[in-house]
Amino acid sequence: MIAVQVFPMMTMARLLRDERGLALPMALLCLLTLTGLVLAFLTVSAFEPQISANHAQSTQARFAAEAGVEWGFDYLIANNNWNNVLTGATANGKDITPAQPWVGATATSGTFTVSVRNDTRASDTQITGVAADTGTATSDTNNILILTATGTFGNATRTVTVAVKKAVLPTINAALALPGVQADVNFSGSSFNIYGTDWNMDGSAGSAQPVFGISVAGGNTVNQTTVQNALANNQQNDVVGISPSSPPPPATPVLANGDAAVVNDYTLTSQQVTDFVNAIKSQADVTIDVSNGSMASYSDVGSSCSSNINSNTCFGTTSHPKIVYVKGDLTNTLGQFTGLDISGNSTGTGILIVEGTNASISGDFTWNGPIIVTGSNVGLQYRGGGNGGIFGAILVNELAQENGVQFESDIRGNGNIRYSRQALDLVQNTMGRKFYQVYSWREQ
Amino acid sequence: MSDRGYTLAELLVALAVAGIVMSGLLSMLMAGQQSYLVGTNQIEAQQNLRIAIGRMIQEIRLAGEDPTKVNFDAITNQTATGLTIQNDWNANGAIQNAGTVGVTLNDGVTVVQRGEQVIYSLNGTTLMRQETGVDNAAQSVADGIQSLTFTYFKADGVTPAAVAADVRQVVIDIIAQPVHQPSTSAAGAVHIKMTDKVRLRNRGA
Repeated sequence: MIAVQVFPMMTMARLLRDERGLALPMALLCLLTLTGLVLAFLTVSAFEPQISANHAQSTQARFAAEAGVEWGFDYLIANNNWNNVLTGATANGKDITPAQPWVGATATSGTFTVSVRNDTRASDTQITGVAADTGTATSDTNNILILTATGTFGNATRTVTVAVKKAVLPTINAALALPGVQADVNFSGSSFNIYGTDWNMDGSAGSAQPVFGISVAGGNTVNQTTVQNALANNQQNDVVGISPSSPPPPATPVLANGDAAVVNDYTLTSQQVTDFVNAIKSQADVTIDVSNGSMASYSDVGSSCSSNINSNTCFGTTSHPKIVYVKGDLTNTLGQFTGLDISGNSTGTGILIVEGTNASISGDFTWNGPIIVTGSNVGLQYRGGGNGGIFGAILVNELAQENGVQFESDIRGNGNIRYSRQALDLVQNTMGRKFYQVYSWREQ
Repeated sequence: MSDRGYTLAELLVALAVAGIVMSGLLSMLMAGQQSYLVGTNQIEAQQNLRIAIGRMIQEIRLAGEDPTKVNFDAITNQTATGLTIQNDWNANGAIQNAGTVGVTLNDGVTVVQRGEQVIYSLNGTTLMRQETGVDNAAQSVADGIQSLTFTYFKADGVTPAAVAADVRQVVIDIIAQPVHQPSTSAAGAVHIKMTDKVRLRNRGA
């Protein structure tokens, strides 16, 4: 049964005129409008925190990947036998670390993994810049590896791929090595000494296997004869080195002197010297730009080391060896100029590289490590004085065949060139990080 | 009960009360509207800016890939509002200023076509990017760029790089606004500024 309520006419009219309660609907209407605006705003802005979070996470992941690159770089320096590193690797490489945070951080800051592989793929040329390694996945033959570091943070992952290249100090086969295309030399007086026997840096005898006194490029008998002809009779005893006919270790080495200590030998090549210089010159501690007419002259090099080891006139100490790179701008293969002049009481330790210009060294000069002079129309004039000398070796790598006689080496006074395994090992072992290079940085 | 209606005084009081309530509501509404406009415009400008600076940073960071060590300039044509990024992707020792080269990714399989030059420039308020070979003309990356300033430094990050060969770090200052920028801040006008310093990873900086 339906009940019908009937309002009297008077009551209905009163209800229609009654405006009480209008504020509530109006307030609700406004509230609704504002709520709509807020909702619209939130809809648009809700993505913003997510975008920001994604951005922050990917940035943090990249930081983790970069930390992984540094970790992998250190690992490859510490484990410099890369074939051991590659043991068990496939063509896609092998992981060399489980996921881990960077030093001093926890996993909440992100983690990285690092893998390494040999550059055997044909496409690796694009990364390394050289032909693919002809070795295998487990056998490195070109001293280049591909390192991949993957950083993870939250939901983000970033990958950085780099090539790591190792420079290897060429096997030095003589106290004075002339592996280039020419070996014009001049010897003046009979007070100089070129010893292929091993010396310690303090001047005492070393115990390492001797090397030749003077070497030229393998098979180049013309250059060999040129050097031998430059040695006068009264200078024969000034050059000493292992005899080419000496029995191999552990037999006692047989020494030779004079012309017999001048050998053409394939052990050290011009290309090896060029490659080594190209690999490490960018790592130089001191770079000196010179040009024809703008020679760099130094006196008493090394005197600043005690007060400021980072000084550009400090060419390294035994506790802090340096790479010193003198860069000439010789482009005219018919000319030559002296771009570096060192005099006075000078000392230095490390690798002295002179490229594209001549160098002149005089005074009481002591150097521990190799001195490398390379380029077109280059040469080294060494006029020794005092009790100093070169402990290590001198490498003069002439790349141009000029017609006139432009000396690759001019040895005068009482200059001492002494092969020193100790000095060469010091350079190789204490400058390790400089011999390694990360390049071709790519991100994915 | 009387049916004579409202008196004038009652009407005025009612209107006054209603006016006060409405003006309060109106100011709330306007504040909400302004917040909405500022917020949405800020987001628009911020997203534009993030896209622009994010892409530039990544490409500048990797500039100068030079596997064969010919030592070309990683950044060239460097001005306050534009630059050209160079990479020798195919390791042939030269930068191709036309066409693309196939770049094999780390999986050894995937090949992507890349241009060896990427040019960033500012055209009015539009950031433009052109990758040689990939783009026939400069493409818009982000609109509403009010100002863009590149500053170039040597490896120490302090000494200005006077020539392209010295560039090892790049500082990017960029200010953006919504494409349809209102005339007043009350109407939602906003400016967003971002600054970043990028170190060229492939140049040992």
